[in-house]
Parts: sequence; structure tokens; C-alpha cells
Amino acid sequence: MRLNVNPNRMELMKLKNRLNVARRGHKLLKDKLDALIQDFVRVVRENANLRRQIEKEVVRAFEAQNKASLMLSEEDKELITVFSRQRLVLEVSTRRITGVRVPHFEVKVEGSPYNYGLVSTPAEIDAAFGSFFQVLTLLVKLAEVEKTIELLAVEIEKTRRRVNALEYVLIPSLEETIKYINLKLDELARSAVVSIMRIKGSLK
Amino acid sequence: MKLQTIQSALKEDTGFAYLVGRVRALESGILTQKILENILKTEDLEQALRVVAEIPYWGTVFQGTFHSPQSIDETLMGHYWSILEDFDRYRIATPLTRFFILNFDFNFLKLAMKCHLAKKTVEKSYPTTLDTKRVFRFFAGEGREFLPEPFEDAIREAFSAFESHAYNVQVLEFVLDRFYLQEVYRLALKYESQVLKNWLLAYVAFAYLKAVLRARCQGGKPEMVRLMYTPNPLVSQESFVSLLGASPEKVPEMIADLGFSFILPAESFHDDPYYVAEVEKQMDNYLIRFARSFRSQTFGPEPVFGFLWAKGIDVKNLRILLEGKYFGLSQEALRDKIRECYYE
Repeated sequence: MRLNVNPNRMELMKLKNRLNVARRGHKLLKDKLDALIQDFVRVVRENANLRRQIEKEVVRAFEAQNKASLMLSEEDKELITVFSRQRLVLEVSTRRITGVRVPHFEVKVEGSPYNYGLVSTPAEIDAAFGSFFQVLTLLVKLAEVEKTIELLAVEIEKTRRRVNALEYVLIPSLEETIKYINLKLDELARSAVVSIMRIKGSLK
Repeated sequence: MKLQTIQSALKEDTGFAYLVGRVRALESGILTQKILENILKTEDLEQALRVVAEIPYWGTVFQGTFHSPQSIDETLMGHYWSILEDFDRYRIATPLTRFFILNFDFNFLKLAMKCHLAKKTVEKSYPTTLDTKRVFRFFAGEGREFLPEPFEDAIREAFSAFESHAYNVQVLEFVLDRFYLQEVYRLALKYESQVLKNWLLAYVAFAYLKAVLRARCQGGKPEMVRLMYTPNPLVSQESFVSLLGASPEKVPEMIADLGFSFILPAESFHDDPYYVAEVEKQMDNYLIRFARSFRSQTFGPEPVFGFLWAKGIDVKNLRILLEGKYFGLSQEALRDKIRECYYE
């Protein structure tokens, strides 16, 4: 679609400059898009691995919990879970992946996870607690990776829209307008030559 | 005086004769390896409960029980507690039942203390001889309220240790465990029967060994773990503390030096909860093998004590099997967990 501009040299210069900037911007955005996609694929792979690991760990943790449950009476179960002084502190910071701000979660444990005695409880419960704690840290990592994927996907979509807008809308319309102005200016030049020739002929 | 002594001795013999007679009758309801195998072979909880219903004295126990781990456990504990209460009614058996009831009482006390700290109430009723309201009134510091010994001292010391150890909840249990094991040790010293005395000493020693091996897995601090120690002839404080800090290669040697190499499974020692779980199983099996000799006693407290311990192991085994069936665990996994029976 041609832009609505006056076909003069000034506009032509401006449009050529804009076309240059648009082409450079398009190249930069295309490079950014490639980098984002590369990072996105890497994070998605990381996510898939993490999910597989979590699925395995969750199964292991629940197996450990079931095994521990066999050895515990209901009173023991309540005794183990009723009161805990352990605090989990989630530290949230941000980092940048190809210019995109993504969250970084870190879990810090304050206090002991073991809130029960060692004489009347079975050792299986330690294994269950250990497994679930491992699952917890992996789940926090998964949350970080999933949020990163979401933010990268939004950024990729935004960048792709910009690239497409430049590639299929702005650059073609600038090119078309430049072409139009060039044609118009050529036509003006030709008509000026013809006028001069006609004036010259009438003078003779 | 002499006549009085003879009379009281005769009374004691008669009392035990009656209790032993009851035990001989009730012993038909003790599980055997064959019954456990039959339960293991069942496909689900429904079938397993049908097998249990065929065992003498177990027929009506599970009637009307929901098929869930909670109700299975409540039924089993209720059954065991009713037997303990039944035997506890006889004054002659009180020193014997005290050992079993102590465990319930201390567990309840731990729960009540934790609930008090969490500002909650104990919602369910658990088997104990302690009165819940009185215990909570005592926690609240009501001047005229008192609890029987050793609970009062245990509570006071546990709360003060809790405050001095940066409000670490595990410390509470360590102190209460010490009082529990101290009480068991005192009971052992009071028992006239040498075999029962030895059995209880083995129980205390195993409790310490199990605790120290688990503390190793948890990375427990020596100053905290030491809180649960009470002097006893089988595990000295020095060995107890050095076991906690020793390298894994040295642990089997140290346990062998204490004379307990038989509790270690065949595989090499490592600090892993499942290894310790295997050690616990070996300990339980040793104690039940030890208790088997009590069966051959014609009179005296031993058969009664053996029966009560066997009943506890049965409850443990049934919980493993029935809840295992509920969770759909494999036969091998369950076989690994079950303990030996009183009857081979």
C-alpha cells in the first residue's frame, strides 16, 4: 500500500532513510527472533527433562510415603505433621534471556525438616521426607522454567509480529512509495525537458 | 510375716496362672507365617480382610470398618488397646502392661505438646491413660493441676530444652524419648524375671542404636542427639556419641564391639534410611525371637509379656499387609517389610 506523501525529493530522501532504518531494524529483529527461538527451544527442552525428572521423583516420593505409611499409626502421622518450625523462603529475582526479563526462584530452608523423634517413628519416614523435599525444589525450578517459557513465548510472538509488520507492510509500502515518487519525479523531469524543447522550438 | 509372704506369693502365682490360662486361649489368634503368606497372596484389601476374618478372635474386629488406611489403623489400634486395657485391669499384670502403655502415653504427650505449641487441640481420641483436658490444663500452667510421674518432669524439661535449642521441635521429642527409655530401663530393673529384664535392656539398647543410625542419616547435631541419652549398661554415652560421628566404614565395627553385629543386614553399611529400616526390621525380629522363649514358661509373667508383644507385632504386620493391599504394593515390597511372627 502506497503511503500518502507528497512526491518530492525531500520526501524521497526521508523515505529512503526510513527504508534503511526499517531494513536494519528488520534484520536486527530477525536476529533477535532467531536468538529467542533458540533460547525458547533450549528452555522447552530443559522443561521437558525437568518434567520427566519430577514425574520420576514424585512417583518415588509417593512410593516412599506409602511405604512409610505402612509403618505409621494414625497418631504417628498426626504427630509428624502437626507442628513444624521449618520455614521455606522463596527468593525471587530476575535475570535476562536475550533481553527478556525472566524470574529466578531460589528456595532457602530455615530450620530442620525433621520434626519428629527417632525412637518411635520408622526410618522409612526419613526417606519420604527427603524425597518430597527434593520434589519441592524441583517443582520450584519447574515453576521458574514454565514462567520463562511463557514470557519467551510472548516476546517471540511480539517480535514475530514486528518482523512481519516490517517485512510485509512497512518495507513494501516504503519501497512502493519510493518507486512512485521516483516515477513521479522522472515524469516531472521529462515534462520539464519537453516544455524546454517546445519553448526552444517556438523560439526558432 | 512369713505367712504373709507365702500368701502373697501364692496369690501372685494364682494371678499369673489365670492370666497365662487366658493367654493360652488367646494365643490361637496370634498370626503365623502361614497366615501372613495367605494374606500376602490375596489380590486386594477385600480378599485380605476375608482371610483375616477367618483367624480366631479377629472375625469381628474388622466388621463395619471402612476400607481406608485411617479406619484400618483405628480398628487395629483399638483392638490392641482393648487387649492392653483388659490385661491392665489385673493388678498383677500392671508392671507388664505398663511397658506397652508407656509408649502410647508418651506418644500422646508428644502430640499434645505439639498441638499446644501449634495452638491446636487434639481432635481425635487416641489410646492413652492420660486425660486430655488435664494435660492441656497442665500446659496452660494451672497451679493445682498435676500429672503422674514421670510425665510432669518430662514436660517441664522438654519445654525448657525446646526454648534453649532455638525452638527446635525435634528437641521436644528427644527429651520425651529419654524419659520414655529411662522409664523402660527402670521397669527392667524392677522386673524379677531375668529374661524379661534382658529383653527390656535389649529394647533400650536397640532404641538407642536405631536413633543414632537415623540421626546420622538426618545429619543430627551431637548436642541435640545427646538429649535423648539415658545411662544404660549396653550402650554407653561414649559409644552413643562416637557412633554418631564415626565414618560409615567404622560403624559396623563399633556396633560389633557393642555385641550387636546381628542387627546389621548382609549388605555393607551406608547412611541410608532404607538401610536403617532394614536394621529396624532385624531388631524387631531379634526381639520376637527372644520373646519366643517366653512361650515355653508354664507360669509367671513371661508368657503374658510375650503375648502382648506378639500382639503388637501382629498389629504392625496387619497394618503393613492391609494398607499395602490398599495402596496396591507388590507382594515382594510387603514381604520385605513384614516382621517375623511369635509362632514360626
